[in-house]
Amino acid sequence: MSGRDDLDPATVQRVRARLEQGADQLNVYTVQRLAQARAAALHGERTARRSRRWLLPALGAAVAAALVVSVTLQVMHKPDAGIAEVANLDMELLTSHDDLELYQDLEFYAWLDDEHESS
Amino acid sequence: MRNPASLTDTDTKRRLDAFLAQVERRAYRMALIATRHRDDALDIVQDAMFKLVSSYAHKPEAEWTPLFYRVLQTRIVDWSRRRKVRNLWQRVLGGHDENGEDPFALVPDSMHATPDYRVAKNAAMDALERALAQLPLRQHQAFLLRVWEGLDTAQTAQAMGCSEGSVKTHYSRAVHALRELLEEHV
Repeated sequence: MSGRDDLDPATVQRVRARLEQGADQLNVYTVQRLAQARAAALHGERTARRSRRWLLPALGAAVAAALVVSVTLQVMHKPDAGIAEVANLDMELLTSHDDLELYQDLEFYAWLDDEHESS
Repeated sequence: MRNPASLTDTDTKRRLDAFLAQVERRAYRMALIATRHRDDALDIVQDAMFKLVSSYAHKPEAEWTPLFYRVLQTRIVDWSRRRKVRNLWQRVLGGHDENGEDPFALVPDSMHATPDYRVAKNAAMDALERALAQLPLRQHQAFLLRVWEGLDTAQTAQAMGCSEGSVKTHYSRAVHALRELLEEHV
């Protein structure tokens, strides 16, 4: 070899010959596939390509992940049961006028009850 | 995009056919060295052929070589990126690595080769291709386009979609690496 950054012409020839050797030894199947691809390209067609089976597990995982995220979000955003009960009680109090007065006078009724028991 | 079916110029079609027939084996071997998978390499060459015919048939014939290799090298780089994503998914999922080396990919045709011939002639070729496969993608692209296809630095830069300076750097590093890897063969 000559210069450190390049190959001398004789070495280039040897390397090229070895690469050509690989190209000349293609098996019949590959040569036919190349000829088919060339003919298809010249006719504006694409020949059948390999299946993308490797995508199936990836797609399956993506769907599973989407389901997990969806369920998690639903659980996280579900209204708290305790808060819902208090809210319902507040609504009942606000919509019932009699009950509201009862709750406002609750201390009076408690005192009256104590007085009645002590007498 | 021009419709290849509209290539009514029979002479252009004939010249394209001859051009593709002339480069297809080398293109396939380049793709195979990069991918080490026969079907992926065939897909890449097929895409490059289709793109040349559909988009660049009207260009001067002298430009077909760098244009064809530009498409081919772009497809190889795209393949390499997709493989990284695919391998990541397969590692995460623990699935079968469909992209592993094709055991039949590098088997030479036995039609013309006796065992003695194979032993004597293929050892150096196999060593060279194994060494090339160990190089980073851009280095082996630069090396093959310069040495095998005989493109000059400007044409190689056009084919690789980079500057001439980058081609010189990739090529120089490839030569240094191959010199060490192939001390006894080259």
